[in-house]
Amino acid sequence: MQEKIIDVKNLSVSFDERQILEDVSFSVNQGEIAVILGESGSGKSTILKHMLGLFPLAPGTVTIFGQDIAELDEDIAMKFYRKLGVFYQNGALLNSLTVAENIALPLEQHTDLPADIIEDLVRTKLSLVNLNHAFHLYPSQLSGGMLKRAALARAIIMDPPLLFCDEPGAGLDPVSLATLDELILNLRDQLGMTVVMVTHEVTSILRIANKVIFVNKGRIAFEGSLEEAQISDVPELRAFFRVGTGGKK
Amino acid sequence: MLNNKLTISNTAEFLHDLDNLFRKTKETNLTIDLAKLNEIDSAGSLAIHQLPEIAAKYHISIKIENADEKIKRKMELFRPVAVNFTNPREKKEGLFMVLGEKTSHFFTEYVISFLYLVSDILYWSIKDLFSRKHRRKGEVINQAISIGVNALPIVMAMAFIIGLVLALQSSFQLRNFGANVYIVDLTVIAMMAEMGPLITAIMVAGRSGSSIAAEIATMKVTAETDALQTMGLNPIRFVVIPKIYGSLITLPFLTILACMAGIIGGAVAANFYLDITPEIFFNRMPLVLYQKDILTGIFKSLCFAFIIVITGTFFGFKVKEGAEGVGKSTTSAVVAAIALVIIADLVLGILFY
Repeated sequence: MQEKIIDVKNLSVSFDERQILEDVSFSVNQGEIAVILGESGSGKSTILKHMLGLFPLAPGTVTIFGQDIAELDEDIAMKFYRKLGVFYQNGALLNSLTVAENIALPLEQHTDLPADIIEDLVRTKLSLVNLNHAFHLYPSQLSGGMLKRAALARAIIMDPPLLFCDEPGAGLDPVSLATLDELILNLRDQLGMTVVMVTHEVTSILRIANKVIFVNKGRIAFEGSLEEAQISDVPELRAFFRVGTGGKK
Repeated sequence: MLNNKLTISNTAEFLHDLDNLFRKTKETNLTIDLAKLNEIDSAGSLAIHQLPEIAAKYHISIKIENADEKIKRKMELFRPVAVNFTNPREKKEGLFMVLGEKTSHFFTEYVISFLYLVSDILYWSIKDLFSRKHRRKGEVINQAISIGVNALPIVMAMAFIIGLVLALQSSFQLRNFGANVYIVDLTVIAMMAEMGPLITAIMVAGRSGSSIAAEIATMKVTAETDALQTMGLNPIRFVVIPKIYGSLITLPFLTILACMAGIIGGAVAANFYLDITPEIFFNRMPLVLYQKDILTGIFKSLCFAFIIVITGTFFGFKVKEGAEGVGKSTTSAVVAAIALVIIADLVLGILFY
């Protein structure tokens, strides 16, 4: 049996008396590429931010690598976050630093590695995402696709066993999206990463996902394998796959 | 009978005419004939749908007929939506309830979170003095240059002008009493203990306070602070502490230089308006300038530096999504920083009097 990496239990979130998430529970096992899918505003990003400990505590528990997110203090948090890579929708690279400096940042801050090794590691990760030429460029000098690849390079610089991706394909053309998907698949296969991805891109899901978590109106409407998701009797999920593959609503 | 078209360009006029008609007519049953209407849009459709309701106010019953298929389809498409859009937060409450809620909101949102931030920044400022590992190389120097060194020309120019104007305005009064030489006392004490630190702080608050707030707000909006956090880096420690060190290092120097510029300004005015030569002016200066005034000025500048960076940081982190939020945070940061600097100046002025 595969090890359970993420375990979310009975997570309920409300803002200003609006219920965003209600009794959300799911789990992700090691080596899976789990996709959190749902309509805009269904609560996907809220789930992601709670898993990352970016939102205030809410009823329910989120356990990652056996660590309860609610019990993260400054010291534990530093060690905990080293095991995660997070790939933000807009890249979230620091604009005042070059691409190389951005990618090197976690290494400089968390390790005592010599500068030349750090530089080599940055070059290796940039090469992995086909972005060698962007070493000295600033984020503002990159195109949307390049920005995302640079963000992916930063997310994996510490070789984290768990990678979170927030809508990685948003705004990408189909070719760039396919390249990004291949990269994520390679990371899973070559580095044994577990990937949790929030996305709307059905083509991307069909290419790489092996688990689907469908969020509808703040609740988990479906949790299962990709194959099960495609034949699910949840009408909203069926509509996603139908429309996403070119069918009618 | 409605002719030709009813679109967004003539709907208001149509409703106005109809309102006049309803007011004047004695009829209680009217028919609106749409036979000649051949173009309608969403505004026109909604106006037609609203007619019975408008007419009912005048106790008139309306019948709408003869619309062709095309017009009917449009009117079917653009119907009033029967959804209750009431805001769940909109509650009718008494004055004291509202006042109580606003006060509680102000304390929790501003006062308490400001105090939390102050304690957080104080903690990391002291802790990071002994741990350089988490500080990016050269960042404190960069911040010192950005906050302090780059502000030097404008701060000195302003201080010079204020020193000059202060001496100029005072010279008329002093001359009346034959107390010309006291212009030195007035300018030196005012600049060293009060105006120098205050002018410097206000200029830096306007210049760097806004830039700190805008930088942090933008980082928050673009999820850069989230990214730092999920890389295991504390945004306060990584972004704010170098600014604290940079401003604490440079603001005292900037203040001393501003005081000097102000005193020179005063000396210029004294020379031209009171016939006090620079030689007399600067010879008298050591007699009226006490160490306490200099130390007070430096201490004030350190407090002001802390206030400016913390206020910029606080409003930066308070940003609501979007570019508009960044603008609002920046404005609030500057206004609050200047206000807090003046309040702190009053408190310190009383303490060191």
